[in-house]
Amino acid sequence: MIRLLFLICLFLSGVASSNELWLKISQASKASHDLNYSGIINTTDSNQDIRSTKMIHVNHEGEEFLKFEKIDGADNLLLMHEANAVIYDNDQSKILIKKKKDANLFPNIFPSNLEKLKDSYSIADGGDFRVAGRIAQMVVLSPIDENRYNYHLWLDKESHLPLKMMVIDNNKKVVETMAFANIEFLQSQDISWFRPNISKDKTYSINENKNIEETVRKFWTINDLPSGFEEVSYNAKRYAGLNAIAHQIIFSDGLSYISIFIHPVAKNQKPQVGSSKRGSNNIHAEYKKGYQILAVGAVPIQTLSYITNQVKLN
Amino acid sequence: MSENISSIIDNELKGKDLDHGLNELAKNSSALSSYRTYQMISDIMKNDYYDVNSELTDKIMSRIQDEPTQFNNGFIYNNQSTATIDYKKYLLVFLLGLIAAFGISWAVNNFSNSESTSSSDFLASDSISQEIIEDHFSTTTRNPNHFLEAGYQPNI
Repeated sequence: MIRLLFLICLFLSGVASSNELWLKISQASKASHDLNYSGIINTTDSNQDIRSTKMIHVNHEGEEFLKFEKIDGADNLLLMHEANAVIYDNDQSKILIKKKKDANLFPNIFPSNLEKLKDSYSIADGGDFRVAGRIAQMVVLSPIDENRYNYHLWLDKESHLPLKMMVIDNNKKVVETMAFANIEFLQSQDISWFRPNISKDKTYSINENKNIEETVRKFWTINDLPSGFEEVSYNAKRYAGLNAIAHQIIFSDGLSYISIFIHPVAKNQKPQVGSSKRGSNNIHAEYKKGYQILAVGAVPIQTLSYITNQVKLN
Repeated sequence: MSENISSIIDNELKGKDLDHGLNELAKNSSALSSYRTYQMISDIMKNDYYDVNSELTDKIMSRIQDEPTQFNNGFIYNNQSTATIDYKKYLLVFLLGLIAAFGISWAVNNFSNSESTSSSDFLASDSISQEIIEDHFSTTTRNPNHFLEAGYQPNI
């Protein structure tokens, strides 16, 4: 009887610990939106290609302002106000302005509905580490099945802000790493920095996403998705290179994302079949009834293969 | 006796002398061992040598003989002391395999553009539309560098 009570206590203490860790995830998500901070973010992919970005985030009277500047390579700039993003793509003498929407960029990586993560991941305490000169607690989100990868998060002990994220595949290979090299928490809500550096020597042009707004008849069905995944977005637009309209359906479990592209294949074009890899993302292609089905995502290739098989064309 | 051995190895003995010499050699085990050693040296000098230890070979062959037949799938018939291989069946399987390979290759080339396909073949990532890759990254990535580069990711 005493042993049973001990086991029950142990079980309950485990549950409390898990709940505490999920609370930390919630606090981390809130911190990434509410706090004012700036720093250098280093990103590394599975090719060990390290790139650095300078960033600043300020919550000014309840509205989020964000700026990312590339340090390596092209001098590109991102200005983001709430969900509206504008990229200044610097191509030597030209600057191409691209408008984007709804980007969840590190350290703001969490979905709006955190409860959804519990359906797909278990949580564990990974211990304390030092990241960007600060003490951080590592939290490990392990997948409940083999349809997605492991996410290791290092959360600042004081502010709860994510300082580092590592995506690790099911063979324990690091797929992608994002981490602050240094970070400073700002007291001021000043947003005078929220503007591009206009150069008179360069020509500017705007490239807006021309998504097809009218209702598109969905001629496909995708049933029995991998556990935890649900459709979060849909776009359709004409791709000049394909000379066709492609439909993009995005599925997510809250952390992992999969894009399914469906487009017709012209008679003179060769359909793609098979699997490949692009940076941290896997790609799987199939060909059905004259249409190219393409799945892209930072998930195991088996997940992409499964989901493309689930695409039924009417 | 060593002179006798030397004469035999050097092919100096003929006819009855050779028969006598060999008979004497067969009766004397130490002389026989010496003969083998001399013969081995002679073979090595002439690059004819291929078996270092005949006793080891005998042991290995004996153990192989004692082992059960591993590939008794219709091609090798083990008759305790002899094993024969049915080359006709090998040839038949080889030809059938060749025909099947040609058939599959032909079918892939002729039907890949007209029917549903599903495969785990390698897909060259360069053959995927760059616009599609960019749209995927710009809508799903959490990596600010990838977002700023409008989808660029280095190939593996």
